Amino acid sequence: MRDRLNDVLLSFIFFKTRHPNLVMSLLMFLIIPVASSLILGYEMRTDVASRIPTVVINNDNSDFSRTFLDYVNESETFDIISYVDNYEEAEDMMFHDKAFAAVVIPENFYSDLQNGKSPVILTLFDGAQMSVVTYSKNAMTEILMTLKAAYMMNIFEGKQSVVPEQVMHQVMPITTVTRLLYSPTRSLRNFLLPGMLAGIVQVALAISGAEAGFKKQKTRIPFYMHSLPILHWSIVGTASMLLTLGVQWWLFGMPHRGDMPGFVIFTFLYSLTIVGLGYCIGSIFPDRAFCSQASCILVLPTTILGGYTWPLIAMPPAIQAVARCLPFTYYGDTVRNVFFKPLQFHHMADEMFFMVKFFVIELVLLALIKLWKQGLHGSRVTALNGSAGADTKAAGVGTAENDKTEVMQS
Amino acid sequence: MTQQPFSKLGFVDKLLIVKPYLIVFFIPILFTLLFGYVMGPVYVQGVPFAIYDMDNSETSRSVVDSFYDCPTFKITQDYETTDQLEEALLQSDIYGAVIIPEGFGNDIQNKRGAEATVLVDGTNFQISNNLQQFATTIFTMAGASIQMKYLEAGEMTPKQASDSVLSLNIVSRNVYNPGLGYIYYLMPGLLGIFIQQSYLAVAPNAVIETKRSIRKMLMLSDTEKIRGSVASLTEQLLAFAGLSTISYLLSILILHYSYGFPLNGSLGLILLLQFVFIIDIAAMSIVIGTIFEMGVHVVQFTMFLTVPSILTCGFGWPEFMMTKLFAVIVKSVWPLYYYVIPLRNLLLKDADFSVIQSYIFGGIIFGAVWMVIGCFLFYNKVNMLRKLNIALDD
Repeated sequence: MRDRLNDVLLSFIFFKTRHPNLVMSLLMFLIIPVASSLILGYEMRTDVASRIPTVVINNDNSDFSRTFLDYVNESETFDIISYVDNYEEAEDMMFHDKAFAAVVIPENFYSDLQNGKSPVILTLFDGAQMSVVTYSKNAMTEILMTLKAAYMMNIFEGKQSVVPEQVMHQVMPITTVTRLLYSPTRSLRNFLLPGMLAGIVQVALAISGAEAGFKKQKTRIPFYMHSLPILHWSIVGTASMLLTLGVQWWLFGMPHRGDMPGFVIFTFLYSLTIVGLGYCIGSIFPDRAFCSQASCILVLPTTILGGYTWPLIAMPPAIQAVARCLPFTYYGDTVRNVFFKPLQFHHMADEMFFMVKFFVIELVLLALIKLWKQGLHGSRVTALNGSAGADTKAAGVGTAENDKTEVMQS
Repeated sequence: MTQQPFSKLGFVDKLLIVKPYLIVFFIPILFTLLFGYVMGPVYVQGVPFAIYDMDNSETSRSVVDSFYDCPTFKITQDYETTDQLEEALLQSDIYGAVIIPEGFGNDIQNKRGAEATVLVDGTNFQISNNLQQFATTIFTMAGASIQMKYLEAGEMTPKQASDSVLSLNIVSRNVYNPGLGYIYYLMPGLLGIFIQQSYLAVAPNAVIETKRSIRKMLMLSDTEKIRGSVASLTEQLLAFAGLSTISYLLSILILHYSYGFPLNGSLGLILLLQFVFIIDIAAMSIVIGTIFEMGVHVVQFTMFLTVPSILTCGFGWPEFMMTKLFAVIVKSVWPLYYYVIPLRNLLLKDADFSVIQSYIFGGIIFGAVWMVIGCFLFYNKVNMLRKLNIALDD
């Protein structure tokens, strides 16, 4: 059995060593992004914060307070895990991450309410767990507002003798109908995953660009030939992006409401810009690993700098200006919108135009890099010709060949 | 080939030798400075928000004024039809809108109950929650003031009316991060990622180099040199660990002094956490460095770990929301869980050992198990490669 396992491992190592680039390409464009999409989709399939461990201090213990707590416990959002006697115990549970929310009902709550003394319910949220707090605060407010409306109806009907037909208008003089457009469930998964998965694929795009740029760094080819590997990896990257995001749609029910052909073109343009960026980096530095590192360091922070999680409008003006020059700023926003908003082709036109401009700038930059590299190469040839031309001729070895070797070594 | 002394090497050669140490030391500091600055404003304010007031009565204008007074909103009243509003929402020109219909003020005046519509773009969780919360507060306040007028008109004293309206109110307190600042919430997680990624950028490469040299020595059966090679790898990993720890402490200080991040927790516990995490990540470096043959491929692979590791470690998506099996798997295959969550608890909550002990012990067990697995894999891999006689040079 062990020998058999060893044989399999040996064959795998042998294959991996013979075809390292194929294995890495499969890993980068297929296995890692798709596996990440599956894992993260499975992890976040509940969509929103639910069953938040909640601790209660009920110092009142009236029917009214128990009814209120029943409402809280029956909601999907909260799970009352413990009733404690004092504030310190509740805080201790939050301190030890056993509870993330607490409800404190004061003594004589109901009798104070009846006597018109305006008692107050205190709620505590663990601010360190912000993704939970922002959701649970809204849920708690909704529960309490429902209860308050019922209470105010009693006041108006009992003390003010308002007829039942009118009472609702006086209890709620202003009714606000809140429509959460496009993602009504406030899904954390919908908020996070599209852009984060795109962030994973963009690492593959940048690396493949850097690798291609590095390989062509020392070869002399017409300029237009440089566009071929960029095109090649952009197509592969587009397919990988669509497959990775498609997993969310096929398996985890994420909607896609926008114009898909438009999104495919947009994804391709985005892939061009990131592969192009990697290609430029790969054309500059002599260290292959450093090319990959540098291109990744350039693109990885853009998942945050692009305003995907922390909004652009909240950033300092200088960072906003930088962010407006980053492809991910436009792609991250669009990838989320195309899933949830009925975006049409023309809605993406400005973003597409940005990608085209960005890519043209990259091509100009690449041309300059190549000219600069050729200049370096030329000066080295001249230097070599000057110092060792005679010797090499005598030895019957072409100077160009020597130059190539020298440049390769350098 | 004879090796030149360091002092006689050229600038580029010197740079290549010290590059790993520079990465481990500077990357966390530079990224802490950058992201601290990015999230420095702490709160989301000035969110583009439209108001479409079709009524333009005194009551509706007072509601509109409340929106103008709230710094969360950056109000525009440029839209004159609901279609225009919807298009602006679709284009993300605005993130929300309030529509006040005609007759709003009149309905309130005549106690018929008025209705206003709040539209919120729900795709951005951070923004939509903020908008909804503040819009609800503004309308609740406006409603309360109208209710008080109704009650006073119905023979209640102003005090009684106020008490009735303000009854059953919630007072909300956010403990440990009172203002719900995003920087306070996210930075411990990001710092963990910076430390992890900078270490992974260099340590697995050192393992690969050692693997390569040991393989050659095995062919020569030179056990003395093999021991030396392993000792050299250990020294390198320790040097990375030392630099990483200094960088980690400096990053925390930068966060505190430059961006007002709370600096709680004892230094001993902060260091203990780092110590355990470095053992864990060193073990993972040995595993990764053993699996891969080429340094460049390790660099590429480790870059992919950034996003999945932070999203699965229970930092943003808490453990209680995961299935039990998933949580067990996450805690068994990657150590970030044992680092970023207790780090957040230390820095924000001033946690003591009792709070973080489960993470510390979990991290120690993780490190011990994976270190054994790593060493076992390393030993087997070197033997296998010797059998295969594969050239490993990049």
